[in-house]
Amino acid sequence: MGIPINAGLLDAMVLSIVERDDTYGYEITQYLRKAVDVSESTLYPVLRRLQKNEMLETYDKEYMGRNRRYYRVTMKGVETLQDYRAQWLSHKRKVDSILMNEEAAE
Amino acid sequence: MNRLEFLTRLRSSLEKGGLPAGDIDDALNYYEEVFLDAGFGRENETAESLGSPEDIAREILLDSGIHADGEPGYMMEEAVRPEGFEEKGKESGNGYTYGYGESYRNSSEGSNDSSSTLIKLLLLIITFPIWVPVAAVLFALSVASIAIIFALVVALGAAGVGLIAGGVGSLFAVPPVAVILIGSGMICLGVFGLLAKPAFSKLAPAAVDGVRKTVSKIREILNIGGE
Repeated sequence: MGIPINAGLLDAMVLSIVERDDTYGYEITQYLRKAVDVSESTLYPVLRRLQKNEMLETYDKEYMGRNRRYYRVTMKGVETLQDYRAQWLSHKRKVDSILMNEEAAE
Repeated sequence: MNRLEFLTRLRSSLEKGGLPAGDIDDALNYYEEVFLDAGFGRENETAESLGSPEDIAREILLDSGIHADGEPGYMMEEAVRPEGFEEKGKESGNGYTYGYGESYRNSSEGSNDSSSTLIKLLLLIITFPIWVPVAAVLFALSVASIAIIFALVVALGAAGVGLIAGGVGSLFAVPPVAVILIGSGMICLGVFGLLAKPAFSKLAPAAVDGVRKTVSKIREILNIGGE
């Protein structure tokens, strides 16, 4: 992936993954890898920040004799995600209008 | 590098950086889980994909410093600004690296242990004319305050005895005044009784201890200077 991803976009992508279904760190990374080359080390500060900003909350669930930390999106997280999606769409449209020689929709 | 080595190095780096114990545990739980989820036989591979524990620790430390009281939602707003889009993200040879925080990294690096000790020593020598009088004044003030407290307690006791003695003396001459005197004396003695014990049992040893410590500190400093 040659195009850099910034922190805010990564935040939103993580929120979107967790919004589909509660999940845990390793799985989130695997999901993200479909689009961006990230490691678990990249994800850790993202998860911490989203928790600190009260967009994600955690709970522990037993799995094979150990606890696994699951993440769940909060109301605030959902709102932020929706907001971000809208902004992403408009941003994408503007970039496409230039990059793909498309007519701007707005 | 196996899981244990990775986690040990991560912990020691985080501890060295002075991260709160709760945050250290949180990070270690996370990375331990990553190893377990990635699979038992793939520890070396996993460690390699995670990167060096020292780098991870540095990122975590930077992060906890920067975002400790970060305003929620700030990152998201910042992110959608098109002009910041390319500047903030950063791609490195190893794939994705965390985009922002680059400017903070410089400031935290370059603190050298041996040179900072030297600077401290130099400062100590240069400021010698200042800190010696300051230390002397502080010492004198603390001695004086202890002396004042002692004097007050002793004075209370003496006043109590004196008042009662005066009251008894004038008991038959002017009885109401005598009663006032004896009563006041009793109050003084009562307060003295309350204060005397803590004052003498706690303050006295503390004062002696403080003086002894100060003297040994001074001796230490003089010894260092003499060598």
